[in-house]
Amino acid sequence: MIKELVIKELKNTLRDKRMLLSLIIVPLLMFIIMGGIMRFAMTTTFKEALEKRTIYVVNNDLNKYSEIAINYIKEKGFEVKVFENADAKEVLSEVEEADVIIEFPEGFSYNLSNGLKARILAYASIKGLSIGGYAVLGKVSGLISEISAYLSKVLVKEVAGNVNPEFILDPIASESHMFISGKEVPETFISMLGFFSAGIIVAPLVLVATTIGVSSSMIAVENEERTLEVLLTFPISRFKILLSKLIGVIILVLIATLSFIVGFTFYITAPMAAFEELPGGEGGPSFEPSPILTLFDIQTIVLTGVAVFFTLIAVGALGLLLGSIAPDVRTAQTYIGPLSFIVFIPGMMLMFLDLSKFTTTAQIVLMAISPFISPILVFKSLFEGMPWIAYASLTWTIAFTLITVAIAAKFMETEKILTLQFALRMRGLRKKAK
Amino acid sequence: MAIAVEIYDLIKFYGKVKALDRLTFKVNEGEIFGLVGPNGAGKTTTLRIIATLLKPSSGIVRVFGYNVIEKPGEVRKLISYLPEEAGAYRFLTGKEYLEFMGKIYHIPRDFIEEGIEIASLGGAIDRQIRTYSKGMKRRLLVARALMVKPRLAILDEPTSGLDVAHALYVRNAIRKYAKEYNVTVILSSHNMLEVEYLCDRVALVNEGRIVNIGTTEELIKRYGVRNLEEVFIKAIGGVV
Repeated sequence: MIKELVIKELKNTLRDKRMLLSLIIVPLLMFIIMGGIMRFAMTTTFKEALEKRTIYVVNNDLNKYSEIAINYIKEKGFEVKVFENADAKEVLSEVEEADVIIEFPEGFSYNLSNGLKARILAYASIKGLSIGGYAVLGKVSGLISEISAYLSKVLVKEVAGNVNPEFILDPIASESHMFISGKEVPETFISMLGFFSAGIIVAPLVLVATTIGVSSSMIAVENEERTLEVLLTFPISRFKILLSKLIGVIILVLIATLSFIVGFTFYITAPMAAFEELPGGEGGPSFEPSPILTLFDIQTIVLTGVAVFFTLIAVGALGLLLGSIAPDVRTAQTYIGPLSFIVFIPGMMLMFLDLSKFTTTAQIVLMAISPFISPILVFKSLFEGMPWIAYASLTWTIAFTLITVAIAAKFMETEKILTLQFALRMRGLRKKAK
Repeated sequence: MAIAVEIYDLIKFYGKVKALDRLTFKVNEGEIFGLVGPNGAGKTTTLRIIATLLKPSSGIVRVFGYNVIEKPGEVRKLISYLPEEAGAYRFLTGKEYLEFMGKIYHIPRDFIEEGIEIASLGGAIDRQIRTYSKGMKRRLLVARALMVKPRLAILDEPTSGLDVAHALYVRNAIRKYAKEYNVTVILSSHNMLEVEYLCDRVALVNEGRIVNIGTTEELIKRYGVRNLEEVFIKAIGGVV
C-alpha cells in the first residue's frame, strides 16, 4: 500500500514541470551552463592572450645585458619590436596594438655589472575587465621572471667560471609534509581544500533546504488541488500516509542531490579543464579523491551518514507539518522561508570557523539547532577532534526526529489538518478587521 | 433491515460557532439518503464527520456499528467519500488515477474497468487530468467513489459542475450502483429535482438541526405543497 502511494507521489511530482525544473533541471543545467561558459570564456581569452607572440620593448639602456635579455626573448620564439630611447608611456598610447611594454631603463647593464639590483619595468593597457587582460599581464610577469633567472645564470657563469649555475642558484631541494588533524595529506590536496570545505558544508545545506521545500510542497499541493480530504479517508492509517510522503520526499531529494552533485562537479572542474586545454598548459591542480577519503575513518563516515538520514527525516516531517497548514504551494514556501535562516546562517559560520573558535554559548546554540545542520556538525566535530559535540548533536537530532515525526503523525490523525488553515485564515481576517 | 448510519445528538463547534445542534437521524442499509438545506446548514460538516475527517464535539456517530471516534480505521474500510470541491492528481492520467484507487481499495481489475465506463471519458481517460474540464473531472471522481463498491458512499453535491446530460448520467449511475451492489448512499444536494429522483428518504437540515425527515411524498404531504422545492422553502421558514 505504501509502495502505491510512493509511486503516486513520484509520478505526480516528477511530471509537474515546475517541480522537475526546480529539483533536477535547474541545478543540473545551471551549473553545467555556468561551468561551460566559464570554461569557454577562460579558454578563449587565455588562448587569445597567450597567442600574442609580439613583445614590445623600450630599450633605454642600449648596453650588454639588455641586448642579452632581448636576444633571450627572441630565442623564446617571440617577435620583438624594439623602441630605443623612447618614453614607454607614449609608446603605449601611440601604438594601438601594444597592450604590454617591457622597458629596460637607463643604467640596467651598469647596475648588473656592478653587483646592484637592476629594474625591468612593465606597462600594461587593459582595455576591458575580462580575465584576458590580466592573463596578458601574468604572462609578461612570467617572462620577466624568466629573463631574471636567465641573467642570473649568465652572471654566475661570468663570475664562477666552470661551476654549474643551477647549483649555485638553487642548492636546496625542499620536501614538505602536510598534516590535518594528525593525518598526513598529499600536498596537492591543500590546493583543493577550499573547494572541498565549501562542498562539505554547501551540499548538506542544499540537501536540507531542498527537503523542506519538497516536503512542504508535497502536502500543500494536496490542499491546493483539493485532494487531501479524499486522501485522508483512504482505508490506510494516517501514519502510513505520512511515511509514504516522507519516502517520496527522500527519493526526490536524492534525485535532486545527484543532479546537484553532477552539475556542481562540472562547475568546479571547469577552470581546471580550461587550463588543461591551453597550449602547453600544465593543467590546474589535479583532483584525486582517494587521498581525501583516507582522511576520514569509518566512524566519521557512518555517523555523518546517520546524521544525514535523521536530519532529512526530521526536516521532511517538519516540512510536511508546515505544508499541511498552507492552502497552496506558494503559501507553504513563505512558511518555510524563516527556516532557511536557521539552516544557512550557522552553516555559513561553520564554513569559515573551526568549532574550537566558537564560545561555549555559541556551541550550545549550535547544538540546539543541530537537527537542521547535524551532518555538518557531526562531520566537522569528528574531523576536528571534538567527538562529544558529534555524539550530543546526533542524540538530539534523533530525539528531535522522533518528536517531529510523532507530532506530524498525531497532527495528521486530528481534524486540525483540515481546520487549522481555516482557523488561521479567520484569525488573519479578524486582525485585519480590527 | 440493518442500520448503515446512526447519528444521535450530534453537536459540532468551530471555535464558538455551533455548526451542528443535536442532530439525530438514521440511514438504513441500501438506502439513498439525502441531506437538504441552505448554505451553512451543516450538511458538509455532517458528511465530514461520517467520513472520519472531523470529530464531533459531542454525540454519537456510528457507521455499520463502528463508532467514528473509536474505530475510524474500520469506518474508512467501509466508506468512499466524494467532497463537494474535490480534485484529482493533475499529473496522472484518468486511467492511472482509477488504477491507483483500485490498488488502494484492493479491488479487482473488472471493477476498474467499470470505473472507466462510469467516467465515460472516451479516449480522454488516457490524458492527464490537468487537461480535463470541471465536468470531466467530476465524472472521474464519481466513478472513483462508486467503482470501489463501498458499503457506504458519502457524496457531497455529486453532480455539482455537471451539465444536464452528464448530471443525469451520473444520477443514473448512482442509482444503478446503489441498487445493484446494495451500496448505501448518503448525499447532499441543492438540486431538489436530483434529490426527488434519487433519494429514498430526505432530511431537511437548517441551522445545524434536522427540521424534518421522510420520503419525498411524505414531506410534500406533510407541508401541503406541490414539490420538494416548496417543502424546502417552507421548512426554512420561507413563504411559498
